Order: sequence, then structure tokens, then C-alpha cells
Amino acid sequence: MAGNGNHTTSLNTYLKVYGALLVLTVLTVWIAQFHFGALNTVIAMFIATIKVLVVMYWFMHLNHDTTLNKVVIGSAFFFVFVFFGFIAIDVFSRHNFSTTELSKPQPVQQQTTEEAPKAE
Amino acid sequence: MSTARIDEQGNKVYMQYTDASQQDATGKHGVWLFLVTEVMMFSGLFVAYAIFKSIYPEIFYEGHKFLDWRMGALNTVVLLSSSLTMALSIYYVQKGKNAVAMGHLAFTLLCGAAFMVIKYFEYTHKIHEGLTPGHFFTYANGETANLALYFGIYYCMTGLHGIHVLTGMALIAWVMYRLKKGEFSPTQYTAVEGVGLFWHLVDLIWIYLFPLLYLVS
Amino acid sequence: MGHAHVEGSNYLNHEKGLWSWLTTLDHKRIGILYFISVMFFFLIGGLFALLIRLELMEPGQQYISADFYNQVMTLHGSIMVFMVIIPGIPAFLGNFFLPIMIGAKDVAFPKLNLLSWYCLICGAGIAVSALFAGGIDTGWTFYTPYSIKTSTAVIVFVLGAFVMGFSSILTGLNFIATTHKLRAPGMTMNRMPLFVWALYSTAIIQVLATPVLAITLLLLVAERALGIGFFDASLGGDPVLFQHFFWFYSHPAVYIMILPALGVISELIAAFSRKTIFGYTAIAYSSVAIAAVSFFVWGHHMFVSGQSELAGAIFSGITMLVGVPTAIKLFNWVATMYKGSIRLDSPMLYAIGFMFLFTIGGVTGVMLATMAIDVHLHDTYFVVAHFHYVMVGGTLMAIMGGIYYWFPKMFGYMYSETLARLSWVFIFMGFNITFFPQFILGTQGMPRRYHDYIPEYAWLNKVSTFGSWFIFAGFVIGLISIILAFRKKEKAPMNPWGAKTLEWTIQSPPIHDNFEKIPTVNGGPYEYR
Repeated sequence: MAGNGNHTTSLNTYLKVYGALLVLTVLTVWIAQFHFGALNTVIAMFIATIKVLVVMYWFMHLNHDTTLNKVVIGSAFFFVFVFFGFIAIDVFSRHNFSTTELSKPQPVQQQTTEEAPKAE
Repeated sequence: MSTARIDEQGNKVYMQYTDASQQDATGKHGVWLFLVTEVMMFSGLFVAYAIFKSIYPEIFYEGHKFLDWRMGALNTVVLLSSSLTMALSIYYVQKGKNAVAMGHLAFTLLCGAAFMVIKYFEYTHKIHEGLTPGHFFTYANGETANLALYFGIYYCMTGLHGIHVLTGMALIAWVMYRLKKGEFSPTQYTAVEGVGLFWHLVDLIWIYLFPLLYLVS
Repeated sequence: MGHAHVEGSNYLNHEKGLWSWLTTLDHKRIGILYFISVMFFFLIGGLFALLIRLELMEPGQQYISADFYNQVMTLHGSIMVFMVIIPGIPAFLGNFFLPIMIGAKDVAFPKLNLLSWYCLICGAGIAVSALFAGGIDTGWTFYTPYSIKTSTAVIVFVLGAFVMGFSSILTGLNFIATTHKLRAPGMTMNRMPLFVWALYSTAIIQVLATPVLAITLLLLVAERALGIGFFDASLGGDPVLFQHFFWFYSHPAVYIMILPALGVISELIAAFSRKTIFGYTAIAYSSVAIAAVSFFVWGHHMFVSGQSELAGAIFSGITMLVGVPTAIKLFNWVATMYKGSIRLDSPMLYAIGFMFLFTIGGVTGVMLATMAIDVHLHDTYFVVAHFHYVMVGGTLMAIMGGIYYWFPKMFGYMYSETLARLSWVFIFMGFNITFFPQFILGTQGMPRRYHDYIPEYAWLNKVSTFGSWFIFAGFVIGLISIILAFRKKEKAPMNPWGAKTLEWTIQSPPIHDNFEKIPTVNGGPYEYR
């Protein structure tokens, strides 16, 4: 007993959830063949997030769990957003890097690391 | 040593807890807190992915073509199935059907192994092609100059995830062993739930990894 | 379930022998294990500090080469950060008193608690072994590209830090679960001592931030070993990204360092003013607020790193916010002392010293948060002075105050008040003599992490070094006061200070189970009048 009474999700529900996850996976692959540009990643992440929420709610039993545990895991995702968000603000407002050189068709060069010059 | 007592239902309750119910709820809470640390740790890799993909979209497009989306999709189905059987094993423990639960745990373990086998084939194929991380990258026919960066991300993300799959498998084996010894009952099975939560997290990470690495357009 | 305990039995003599200590699950014993370890690491880190100051006493090279200096300053910083200040209060005083203060018999996960100590010890061992494999000279911040290219033992050292990170994570996880689930009947969140609120807020940071350090260190190892190219510009990576990753942890980490200290001071001010703390709710929630806001400001360490001006401006603005909850605490302490019945016992001297020194450290922090000023002061001794004021003038003073406050409870003995006060005088004076000149040196342009400087900086450097000897003397006197207390064995009463939190209602030293019977709590923690 997980400290919250005798709530059990039914076998049927588990199977339906599984089915939904498979459908969403097929959907993800199917949509990926179309070219919506930057929107592709957004759509894929949106579907993935739905899958994640589904797994958390039914398979991970958040449906029968305390609000506290929901807040706990929710806060993790919030801070990941903060982490990404501020870095993105920095990187995308820098305007000083050129990607053209590195993306041009070129033979791959092996980089060797050099010793730092001796300080004296 | 931390002392424990056996309560009326035969549950082992440690001395800092008033009853088994409080103990179980705390254990579960602790596992969720641990999952927070895992999410934060993986977030570093996802953030690195997002930043580098925005800066070098061509590298990511070219890199993903070396990945077989069918193997990735298969692995996704494998892990989703393992999540189902993991959840069902808990369901059967709750119902007191330990033998059926054991079978489901075994299947979950098998799925984990299948995932690693598929991963093994993917990795060996790439290594054979010279698509190896960092200094060791020897693939010479790349269109983009810095294809190695994509594979650095690929190996770091799938590698760390793979380590967690193996860890999860070990935890499932441990829980199977305890189940066999009769340590779980419909009123006390927190360890199975805890391991289940960890295993689902492994699935969650893959749910994000699959489209990001395999389905780039 | 209580059982009549043998007269004179306590957690110290509950079981005997080294093995019983190394396998203990008792949070009090684990706290003591941390106390001993942290004291030992502090001694090592302190010796490195003295060596730094010795070399910097005069311009030019006197005792150590530039390369060796870089190693010494890196080790001083890394040891103090990872092995002293981060575990210092939570894992020692927190472990000992958090369960007792909420009326619990132990933490939620005693085995994880013991594991956390082993993580610290093993991680420290791995890190120290780096000394024999080439050492480390990158500064405690391990910035790329130098940390990728240097021939010192970065991988070994950083793996040691990785393992030590788990110590912090496990402590934090334990404290959150304990605070949420194991409070005694009647102990609502709003009746918990402020030290517990502080530890709880710290624990939230430990759980959320430390894993990001973990992945950062792993990626640095991969960068060095494999050349994956995330942080190496020559491979298409971004060194500033490393700094983002590093400081996402390390800024909240400095709040791991100070929040528990702020909690200790709240306890001391209330007890030694014999007055209910002013603004309990404000102080409690300000701890949580500081923990939350600490995650939005890390870029103020990166104003001149290559980060965009926009990002810098945003980080600068939000950083101003974090001073507010901190100031609220300070005002509330002063309000608590007003018309209080103040006793200037040594714990209170440390608390008052903290208020003065931490204020200086805090306002100089706001100065550095101002991007336009920081552009000039970044990487100068102004920054060094700022963080020593908050970490030494702040956290270390709080640890000392906490040790003297709770020493009678932990060990059942009283210490010499004379020696404790003498120790305080030396530490307080020595600290100001060492570090105040460094503010001036910084504004005059003296760079940090350099083994040498121009002759114009000589006089203030000499003063600073003299100060460091006073600090050393102060800690030696403090150590003597503790050792003598164990030798004299002058028994301490159950509540020498007349304080009101739960730990003062149990015997000194506490019994193994803390309480004969779990108390039922009917009121707040500071009901003096």
C-alpha cells in the first residue's frame, strides 16, 4: 500500500493507456515525414509531452497520489525551462557567431588539442 | 542500527515512522524527489541539444540520417511495453497475485535487455562506419564539417540513458528477488512501486530522445 | 514506542567502538562524523589559504612558483566550497538537529544519510588523489577552454567533485522528505523553528541544482577524454555554455552555503534576546523565496564572459530582487533584538558579528550585481573580498555561533566562555584586517588568481596577510576551547540558554531515540513572552 488507500487503476485502463501511447508514437513518426520547418520539433515535443503526462498520470500513479508529489515533479520541469530559457535568451541575442563556416561542405578535419603554454 | 518493529499486518516499520502508511508514503515521496534529480541531470543534455541544434541545424539534419528511425521506433515500442508490464506487475502485487506479477517483472526485464541489444546493434554499426565520438571520429564523407558534434550529443544522450536502462534492469532483478523471497504483500510493496517509478522515468527520457535524435527534419 | 532508558545512556555511549560509528544510522552520530570531517577539510583548506597569503605578502615570487600558486588557489577554493561550506551546516548541525527540532526520532532515510557521508569522504579521497596525479590549476570554477587543455589532473579531481555532489543531493532529499512527512503532532510548517525552514529551503536547492553540476562535470570529463566539442570553440562548441551550465548550479550553491547560516542566526538572535522572533512568517517565506529566486540570476557571474548584453541586463535586474528577502531577515533580527533581554554570550557575539559582516558582504554583492560596475570589478579582489565577507564573515561565523550554542546539547559539556570570546575577538578582528583591504585593492584594479602584483598593491597585501594570522590564531583558540571542554567534562544543564525550541527539552546529550515519547506541539518555537 502506497500510503494513500486502496486505489488501483483497472487493468482495462492500463491497456487503453498503452494503446494511446502506441497511437501517439505512430502519430509522431507519421508527422515527421512532413516538412513544417521549425514547427516539426515543436509538434514532436508537444506530442512527446502528452505521452509523458499520460505515463506520469496512469503508469506512475499520479492519479491516486498526493498533490505534493505532483508539485515536486512539476517543479523539476519548471526549472528545466528556466535553465533553457535564460541560456536561449543569451545565445539568441548574441548575433556574433557565424554558422556558415562550420556547416559548409568540407572534409572533416581532425582537431588535436595542444598543451597550454607554460605560464612564467 | 536503526530499529524496526513488526506491526499487526506483518509490515516492518522503522522507528522514526508512526505506522506503515506513513513509511510507505514517505518512501514514495523520496523516490519522486530522486526523479527530480534525474530530470535535472538529463536536462543539461537536452539543453545542450537544443542550443546546438539551433546554431547548427544542418549538422543535426545530416547526423540523423545515419540513424535508423525504425530501430528507434522499435525501441520506443519496447520501452512503452515495458512500462505497461511494469505497471501491471504492481497491479498484480496489489491483487496478491505474486506469480503473475513476477512474470510481468520478468517481461519488463526482458524488454530492457531487448532495448540494450538493439542499441548494441546501432552502436556497432556506427562505430564500424567511423561515426565515433570526439577525437575518434573518422567518418570522412560528411557533408557538414562538424558532424562529430552531432554524434557527441548522440552518444552522450543515448549513453547516459543506456546506463540508466542497465541500472533499472538491476533494480528490477533486485525486486524480483525480494518478491520471490515473499517480502511483498498487497499492503507492503513500496520497493516495487519505487523501482517502477524509476523505470518509467527511463521510458520518459526515451520518449523525448526518440523524436529529437531520430526524426529531425 | 518508548522504553525506559538506562540512566546516563545517550547516543554517544549507546554503542561503542569505531565500527559502530562507521555503520551508524543515527542522524546525530552522522552529524558528528560530518563535524569531524568538515573540521579536518577546513584545516587543509585553511592551510592553503595561509600559503596564498604568505606568497602574496610581498610582490614577486618568494616561496612558490606561479604554477604551484595556481594549484594552491584552486585547491583552497575547491576544498572550502565542496568539502567545508556546502556540507558544513546542513550535514553537521542540520543532521543533528533537524529531526529533533520537528519532534522526530530520525531522518526519513537513515541509510541514505550514512551513504551521503561516505559520498563526501570517498569524493574527497578521489579529489585529493588528484594532487598526486598532477594536481589541478583551473580555479574552482573549471572554466573551459583551459580546463580542457591543461595537463593537470582535471578528470580525477572533477570526478571527486561529482561524487561529493551526491552527498549534497542525498542530504537535501532526506531533509525535504523528513520535513514533509515526519513532523510531530501539532508541529505545523508554521510552527517549525526557522533553522528548519532554512534547511528545508537549502534542501530544495540541493535537489534541483546539484544534478546540473553533475552533468556539467561529466561533460567536462567527456570533453577532455573524448573531445566531444560542446565547450571547445575549436570544435564548434561554446565555452560560455560551460559557464551557463556551471553557474546554474553554482549560484544556487552559494545560497546552499548561506541559507542554513541565516537559519542559525535566527535561532541565536531569538534565544539571546529572549524574545519571540519578529516577523516569523516573513523570515520563513523569505528563505523559500531566496531559494527560488536564486535559480534566475546565475548570469551575474558572466557579465564579461561573452554573454549577450541583453542577458546580462536581465540577470542584473533579477539579482537586485534577491537582496530583498535577505534584507527582510536582517531587519527582522534587529527588530527582535529591540527591547529584548540581550545576553552577549559567545554564540550571540558570533550572531552580531554575522549581522555586521554579512551586511557588508551583501551590499557589496548588490554592487557587483550592477552590470556597469561589475565590468570594472569582475575578477578583481573586490569580488574576492565580497564572497569572503559572505562566506567567512557570514557562514563561518554562523557555524561557530551554532557550534557554541549547541555544543552543550550535543556533548553535555560546557566550554570556557572566556576562550570562546577570545577566539571571537581574534577571528572578527583578523577577518576584517584580512579582507577589508581587499575591497580597496579590487577597486584599485588588483586582479584575482594571480600569483604576483605590481608594487602599488604591496602595503595593503601585507596588511591582509597579517590579518590572516589573526584568523588562524582565533581558530586555534577556538579548537583549544573545544578540546578543553571535552577534557574538563563540566556538565551542561539541559537548557543552559533558556531557549524554547524542542532540542532544549531533551537531555544533554540526547538519548539514542531523541525523545522518550514523541511530543505533541501546542505553540510556536519562540514563545518567550
